[in-house]
Parts: sequence; structure tokens; C-alpha cells
Amino acid sequence: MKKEIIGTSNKVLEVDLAARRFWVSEIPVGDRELYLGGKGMGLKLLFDRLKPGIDPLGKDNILVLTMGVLMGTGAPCSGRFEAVTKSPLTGIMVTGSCGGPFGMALKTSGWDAMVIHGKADEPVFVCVDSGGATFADAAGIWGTGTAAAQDTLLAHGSGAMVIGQAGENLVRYANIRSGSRFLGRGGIGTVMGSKNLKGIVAKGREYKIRPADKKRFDRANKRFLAHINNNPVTAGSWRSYGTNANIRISNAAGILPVRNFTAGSHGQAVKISGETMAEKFDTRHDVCKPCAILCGHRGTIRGEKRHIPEYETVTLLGSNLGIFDPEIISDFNELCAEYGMDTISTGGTIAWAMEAAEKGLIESDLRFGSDEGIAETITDIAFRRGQGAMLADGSRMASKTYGGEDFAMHVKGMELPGYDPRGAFGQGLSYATANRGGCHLSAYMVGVEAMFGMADPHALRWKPYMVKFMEDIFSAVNSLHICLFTAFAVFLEPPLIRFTPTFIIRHLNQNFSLLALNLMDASLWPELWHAVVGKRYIPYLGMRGFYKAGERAHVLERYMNIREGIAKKDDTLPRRLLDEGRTCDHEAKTVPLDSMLKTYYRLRGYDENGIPREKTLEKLGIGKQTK
Amino acid sequence: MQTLEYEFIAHPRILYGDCSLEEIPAELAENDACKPLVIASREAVRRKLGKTLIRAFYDSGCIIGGIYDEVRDYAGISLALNAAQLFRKRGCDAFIALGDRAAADIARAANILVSHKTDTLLPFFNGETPSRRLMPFIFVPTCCTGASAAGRTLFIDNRRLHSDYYFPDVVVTDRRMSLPCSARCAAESAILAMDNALWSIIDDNQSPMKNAFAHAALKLIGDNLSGFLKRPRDGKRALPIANAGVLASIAAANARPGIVRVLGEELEKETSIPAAVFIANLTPAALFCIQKNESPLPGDLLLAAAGMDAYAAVPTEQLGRRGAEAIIEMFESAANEIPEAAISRIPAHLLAEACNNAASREMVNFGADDAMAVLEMARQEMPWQTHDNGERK
Amino acid sequence: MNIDRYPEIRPGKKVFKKAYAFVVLLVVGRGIEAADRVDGEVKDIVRGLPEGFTFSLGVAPSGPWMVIRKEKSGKLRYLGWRRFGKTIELDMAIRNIEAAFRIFTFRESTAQAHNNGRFSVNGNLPNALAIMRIMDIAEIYLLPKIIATLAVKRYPDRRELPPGRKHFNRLRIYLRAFSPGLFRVVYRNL
Repeated sequence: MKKEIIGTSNKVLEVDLAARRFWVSEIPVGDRELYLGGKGMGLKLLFDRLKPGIDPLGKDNILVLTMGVLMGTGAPCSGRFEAVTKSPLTGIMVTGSCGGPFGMALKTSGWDAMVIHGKADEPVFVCVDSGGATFADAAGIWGTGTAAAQDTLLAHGSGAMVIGQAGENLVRYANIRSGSRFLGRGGIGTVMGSKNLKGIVAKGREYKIRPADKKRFDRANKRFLAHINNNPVTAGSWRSYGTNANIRISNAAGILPVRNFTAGSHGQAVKISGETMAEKFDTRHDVCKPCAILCGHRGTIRGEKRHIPEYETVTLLGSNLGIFDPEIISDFNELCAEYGMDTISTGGTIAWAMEAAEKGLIESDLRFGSDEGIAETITDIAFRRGQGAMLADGSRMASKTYGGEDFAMHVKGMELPGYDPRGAFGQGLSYATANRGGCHLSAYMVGVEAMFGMADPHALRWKPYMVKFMEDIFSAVNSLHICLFTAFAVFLEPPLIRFTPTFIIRHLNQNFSLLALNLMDASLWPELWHAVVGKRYIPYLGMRGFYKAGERAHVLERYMNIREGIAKKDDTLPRRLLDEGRTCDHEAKTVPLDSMLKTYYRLRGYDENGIPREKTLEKLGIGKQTK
Repeated sequence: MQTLEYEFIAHPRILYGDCSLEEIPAELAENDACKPLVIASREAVRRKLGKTLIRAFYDSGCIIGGIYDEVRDYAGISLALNAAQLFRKRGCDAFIALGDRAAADIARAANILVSHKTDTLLPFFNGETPSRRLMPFIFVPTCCTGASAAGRTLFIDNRRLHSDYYFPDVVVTDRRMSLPCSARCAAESAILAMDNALWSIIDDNQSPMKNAFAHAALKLIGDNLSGFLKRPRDGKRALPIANAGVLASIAAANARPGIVRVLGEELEKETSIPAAVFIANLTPAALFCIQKNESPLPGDLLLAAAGMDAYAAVPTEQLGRRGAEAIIEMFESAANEIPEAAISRIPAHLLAEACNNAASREMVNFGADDAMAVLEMARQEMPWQTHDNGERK
Repeated sequence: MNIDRYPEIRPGKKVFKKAYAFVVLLVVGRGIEAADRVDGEVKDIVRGLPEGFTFSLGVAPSGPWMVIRKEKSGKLRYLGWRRFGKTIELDMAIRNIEAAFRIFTFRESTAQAHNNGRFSVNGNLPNALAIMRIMDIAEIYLLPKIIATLAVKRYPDRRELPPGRKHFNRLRIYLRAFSPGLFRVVYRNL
């Protein structure tokens, strides 16, 4: 019979690759209260261990993997784990959330987190079980793609995470594969590569996770599942077509990136929409476990069973390069998956290269609208060959060397995802202030502004507050840790929102945002958390505490970034978004960032240079521990 | 008799003083031009300097082909291509850059494109230099670092192209245009000008003409800096500093780039913090390193900053040291306006990368180790910053 | 790129400043003509100029101008403001209206203006310097001392130009400058 963990084990497995040894540490109960788990806990563990100013590709960098408290409990969409480290792409903290089996395997091996120190002399992989870690020679699988490497590692356990050739060759946006899911952004795979760590495999299935208050958990879980199954996004368009259901919406709203963000919509966008792909490729669900949304899909493409590219991949390796053939996009996606490269950064960097080539900054045959040479370029990047070596460092580094900074579409070095903020100003602010760089998941403002029409996309009023609110929520959700897509169900299904006409919500949001946002009932999340860890639960205070935990994680991450030299100068957008209008707009629009940023800093408790004030840190309980 | 061989080029005609802006049409006429395209920085237009420029063209018989005001802080080929397109469609025959370094560089780049009837700068990036004289180019520096862009370097898309053809034909420093927008901006302008002048003097290629330009620049800065920093909007002080910036940049165009400037630029690239911040921090360290290596500093020239009295009062053997002290004092007074304590906050691996990049730049005569030594020194207390009794100056 | 966002600009005109410069040039022109008939030093300078020598002084590029010629009689004659049809041997132009306004409002002396590069001269330089000396003398007579000191290079002291002679010559120059001859010139130039 399996051993049981009630709530959380609070055990951290720390491994030192250089010495090939491991030790166990504990998560203090106080930290669990303050940082919940997942992202928040990962940041705290890193904050306590990482020296500021170190080289992200050096031996001093630390990779933290954390699980959420909901993982293993059977809560829907909870099969996610978080990785936190210092990014080689941005030089600041990066957090990434991933589905796939590794998280579950690690958690059911009895570990709530894993911390990886040092650098191995030779390529290794780490096998984890409830007894600790063992180190195995990875020379045999070094140089293989992610699929083959994962298959090899899975012989040692039930869940693995691996890097491909891109990570080994220190491509700065290499990712990590777990199942058919990826820890995509910020070059977390590169950090593994720099440590000569090909992968980690966890035995799993050794422990059973039991919520502390099973009855309450079941009650909340039932409501949670009902919300997910009632919501038209989570149970409708995304379940049917995946995240690509957004293509049509983005195209209509003028936020679809086209040709390196020179336009916001395109007549051929329908060809790459989720609906078209579902029909063309006869798609079936292919999801993380346990999942109730079922957004992942698999279909038959060029006679093979392939994972359908997600929205970001389709936009960045498709419309943003002027390519509207889903089969070709799928080819690029497969290549990136095999080599272990972030499709957003790959697409963003190639788009930069295309424009640089067109404008005579570099010699290259890459051209918008033509798929010629793209596959070869992706391979060259993964192996750092020829021009690929230059592109392997990302668009920021490439543009610093070869010019074209005005059309290098990144924030803090991380390439922008598939939403053009000139069609949704709040998203622009959210990109600029996102802790890890050009990230849409810091506060998914396009959802509020462009998809559900709950705020005027071009209004500035209350946008800083909305961004702050969403950032706190998303940070908290990533600390639970649960899929962010559940936010649609949790926010939109409670009766107050569900039965209020959209135009009233829009009006309230736009003019009385403080009131409107705080009336939203997000109590399900803290309810689930409390039910698992077994704390007393008062709904209203629980929600406040939950938001505050999110805020704490967000500000802690910012504070860690400040130690790396981040300030207001970095909270900006690519010049194209600030200066250039688009032809698709009736009237040329650019993101009026400065006017929103000032208010945002005030709301966040930062000074005018974007640095958290001492008072803010103290209020959130960060100050005391940092002293 | 010792023969001194040197080369010195100072192509730009410098228009300085009252009504110099109104001289532009006459200068255009002398260059057979009558329809300029104005490349303006957005900041300059926001401060209504574009309107002032237009007023200078009243009754001149010239038509302005347009004011292309898209330039912000970055000079990129996209803007240059657009400017060239506008230039061609309007049938213009000269460029006027109004603004800071970026505006000047966009005008230079667009000038190459139209003069060579091409749509790409790639051959120039690959080492080609202009084969013919470019269209007339007038540069009107506004606040900030503008005046230091009057040299022979085109800095576009993070690449540096050098040619004597890139000198502006005319540089106009006018009281209405050269006022800094803030005290910080004033300090940055002064730091860049001082750095250009300082390293022109220290440069091993000793040309009396270059030294004369640099000396004049230092003298102007020395006479006006403290007043300028106290009241940056005082035109009487701002104009000499802007003029010193132009003179210093011409001197610097005839010298090797100094270690501090190159390091500052590379650190700016790594961190997005303005180069002037690093220059202010690094200059004392660099001067100390030079003295430590027992390289003589031309103190007689450097003491221009302190004035004739100071020069006369210093024994010959102490000229170098006292000259350096005078310069450092000026840098420190300017640096007080810039709050960031930059070097200490930069991660070590970025510093190392900046040193390597700096050492690999063309025309430099120092290695990565020298650059790192300066950075290390900048973190420490300078011995000469303390008096004999140990008190900090 | 939408080039209509950057329209072509046709700069306007400074009507008042031009009108003011016009009046000053008219008065100075007539004053020079009168001074040549009244002041011995001017006569000496003019004697050194070739016969038929015509010079113009004005504001580049579009005026106003004044044109003066040395007649067969050896006297200077103010021909008005039109340069068309006249062979100008010495063309002195103030480079722009703003500089002209500075000079004509006596914020900058003619010598200082030369020094500042406000003038462009096309012709024989010694003749140009001679004309500048004549202009200085004319200004000494035409303007009160307090203003003339600002306008000329050096104001003559009492020994060089005794007050009696100065005021007597001034009166004669004013009478000559604003005599009916003025209306003749205006009529011919209209």
C-alpha cells in the first residue's frame, strides 16, 4: 500500500551536481503560509540561495523546481509544476509553469521541491525517488533530441524532464520537455544545459497525496469542476479547438502579430485558426493530467500524429513570419520540440532576422511570407551553426550586435508573445511590467480587453489597477499551482458575473474598477488550498490573503530582479509599439506606456524608478527576511 | 629641428552665437541647396524647437521639404530608409538634423542612401566607405548629448562607421536650441564633452591642432561648468558648453577612442544605462591607472580646465597630477547630478563581457585586461581622492 | 510610410522687420548721398572709388536693398532699392533679415557684425571697407550719439569732430536727405 502525504510533505530535495550528492531541507511552515507553493515557493527558495549578479550560465546559478499543493490531489488542471532560475536570455529571474508527467512523478516521490546546484563535470541525468537522488552518466543520450532522451529516461521512472540539443548548445531560449508539454520560456533548458544536466527522471507513484480536509476539498472540487464544464471558453472553444480558438478573435480585434508586429490582422488568418485546423487535421484531445479543460490537441499532419501547435506557436512561427500554412507551422513546431527550443522566442528572433535581412542589416535569404530557409535556420540555431549562432542568443543580443533594436520585439530580452498591445493597451503595460520580460501570462489583459470586451482596449483609465490586480491573481494561481486557464471558469462562472450583461461589466470595469474587480468571487482557489493544507477558512479574508500571497510573490520577484539591475529603464516596450502606428488601425495607435507606468508604480508601492519601497517590502513580509 | 607630422581634419563650419540659426539658409545656398529635409528628434519637436527652426527660414526663399520627427533615442536603419524615401519624394537637396546624436545619425545614414542612390547600408556595414561627397548636411544639436555627435562617426544600429564624409558641413549651436532639458541632461552633455576633450589630449597621436581644439573645449567647460550645472537653463552658460561639445567631438574624431568612452558605450549596451554615467565613474580610475603605469599626463593641457592661475602656481613636475585632479574635480561635480552609482550594481559577468567587447573594438589600443583593471579600480577608493591626513576630499 | 504626415513647409515672412530694414536702408542711403556732399572725409574716401562704381547693400536673399552709384560728377547718388537693370560692382549683403534687424536696431555694430560673419561681400574688398567707413560716418551724423556709439566701430572724439561742425553737418545732411530728391527717388523706384 502506498504511503500517504497529508497536505504537503514540505520536503525539498537539494542536489549538487558538481559533488554528485544530495541533501534534504524543509520548507518552513511560515513560508508555506506566505508563498503558498509553486511559483511563490520557488522564488522564495531561490531568493534564500541565489547570490545576485552571478552568471546565469555559470556554476553558481540554481534551478528550483516546485510543485503546487493541489498536485496529486485530483483537483482538475493541477498537474503542473514550476521552474524558477536566473534566465540566460534576460539575465533576471524566470519562472515557468509546465504540465506533463514530471511534476506529478516528483510530487508522488515525496518531494515538494527540488533545488539543483552546481555544474556536473560530465553530462549526467538525475534519478529521483523517495530516498533521494542518484546520478547517472548521460553521455549516451547527450546530443539526442527531446523525444528520444525522454524515452530513455522514462525507463527509470514515471515522469521525466529533458532538454534537447538546443539546451546542450546553450541556445539562450532552450526549453525543457515533459511529456508533450514544455517549460518554454526564458531559457530554463539552457540553464540545465550549462550544468551538463540532460534530464531528471522521477520514479513517482510512491506516495498518495491526501487533502487534509477531504470533505471540504471534495465540495470545492465539485464546484470547481462544474464551473470549468459550464464555461464557454474552458468547456467550449478551447476544449474544441485549443488555444488556437483565439486566432479569429485576435485577428478581429487587431492584436494578431503579423510580419514582426507591423500589422494586427491579416486576411489569411482564418487558415491558421483552431477551427480550420480541427477540421483539417481531425484533432483529438492530448492533455496534461489531470485536466478538465482539455485544450491540448493532437491530429494527423502530413500523415503523422503530431501535437497541434498552440496559439503562440501559430502566431510567432506563422502569421508573424507571414506564413499562413498550418502544416508548415507544424513542421517548425516539431523541429523546435525536438531540439527543445521555445517557439515564441524562436519565432520572434527569426522575424527579427527577416526584417533585418530585408533592411540590409544582415545577409540572409530569410524573407517574410516565404518558408524557405526557416527550417534550416531553426536547426542552425539549435546547433549554433553559421547565422544560427547569432540568432541563438535571442533578438535582443542579435540586435545589439547587428542593429535593428527598434524592431527587435522583446521586453527585457524575452521575445513578445502573440498579442499586439497596440490593440489592447493594458496588455502593453502588462508586457512592460511583467517580471520575466515579454510575457502574456503575467496578467492576461487581452482576455479582459479584447476577448471578453470587459474593458475598452484603448482606454487608459484604471488599466494600471487592472494589470496589478491580474498580476497578483495570476501569481497566486501559479503558486497554488494550477492551470491559469481555470481563471476563465473561476472568474466568469459565479452568478454575479454570469448573469450581468457584458456592457454593464464593461462600464463598471472601466469606471469603477476598484469596486468591480474586488466584487469578483475567486474564493474557489483559496478554498481548495485551505482544504488541502488544512487551515481554517474564512471566505472573504481567504481571498484577500490569497491575493496578497500573489502580490508577495510578484514583488519578491521584482525585488530579486532589482538586485540584478532592473529598473524603470527596463519596464518598457519595443520601440515599434511605442512609436509606429499600424495600417490596420483607422487611426495610428501606439501604446501610451509612460502615462500608465507612473500610476502602476504607485499602486505597486514602487518608487518612481520602479524599485519596491522599503515600506512595501515590509508590508508584504519580504523586508524582514531580506535584512 | 624636430619635424612634426600629423593629420587633422575639422570639416564642419561652426556657427555659434546669436542669430546663428538664421544663417542656415545662407549656408545652404553656399552649398547649392535650397530645399532641406529636417530630421528632428521627437523631443526637440515637443519642445517646439522645430517651430523655431522654421521661423529661422522666414524670408529665406527656402522651402523645407518636411520635418521627419520620428527619431527618439535610437538610430535605426528603418528610420533612415523612411527619411530617404521622404527626401526623394519631396525632391530635397540637403539634410538638417535637429536634435541629439540619434537625429544626426539618421540624417547621416539617410544621406548615404540618397547620395549613393541605394536602399541598403550593408556594403557600408561591411567596410565600404562613401565614394563621393554626400548631400549638404547641417547639424543643429539640441540638449543632452547632441553636440558630441559632430564628429566623423556614424552610429547606426549599434554599428560604428567612420569616414571624413560623415562630418556635418555646418554645425549650428544656437542659444535657443542648445538649452538642456534638465540638470541631469546638462551633466551628461558636459561629461561627454569633457571625455572627448580629455582623451583627445591623452591620445598618443599628438597633433597640435587636435590639442588646440581639445584645449579650447576644456577651457570653455572649465569656465562655465559650475554655473551651467547650477542653472542649466541659463543660455549664457549652456551655449559655451554646447560649443565645447562640438570642438571636443572634432578633436575626438581625430584621435583614438579613449578607454573610458569605449567601456562606457559597451556598458551602456549591456545595461541600457547611459554611457555618461559610466564615464563619470570610470574617468578617475582610468587616469589613476595611467599614472600608475608611469605614463606622463599632459598636465599643461589638462590644467586648462583650472585656468591660467592654477597653471602658473603648479611646479612643472606636478603638472600631470594636478591636471588630472582638476579634470576629476570637474567630472565629479557633473557626476553629482547623476544619481546612479553604476559600476557596483552591474553583474560581474556583464562587466567582463563589456571589457571583451571594448577591447575588440577597432582602433582601440588597450586590451580586455586593461579595461578590467579600470573597472576594478573604479570600485575602489582612489588614493588621490584623499588628502594626506586621510580625509576624503 | 505615409509621407503626408510630414508636409512640405513654406516658411512665412517677417513683414515688420523687412519694412523696418527698408526704411533704415532708405534713410542711410539718402544719408550717405548727403554726407558725400557735406563731410570732407567722406568726399576723400569717395574720391578713391572708381567712376561709375555701383554698390548695393541689403538683406539676403530677398531684400530690401539700397543701391548707390558714384556719378560722373564724382558724387555718390542713391538710386533706390531696385537692383534690377543695374550693374552692381560691389554687392554687400547681410546674410539674413534677423541679422539685419540686429544691426539696424543697433544691438550690434557694423564692425562687430562683420566680425560675426553677418555680411557677405561680393566684389572688391578694399572698396567694401571704404563703404563701411562711409556708412559709419553717415550714421554718426544721422543718429544721436547715444545710439551711434552702438552702431559704429569708434565714435569720433570732440577734437576729431567738434560739436559745432557735427551739428551743423547733421542739419545739412538731414535737410538734404529729406529734400524733394527723396520723392524723386521714390517715384523712380515705384
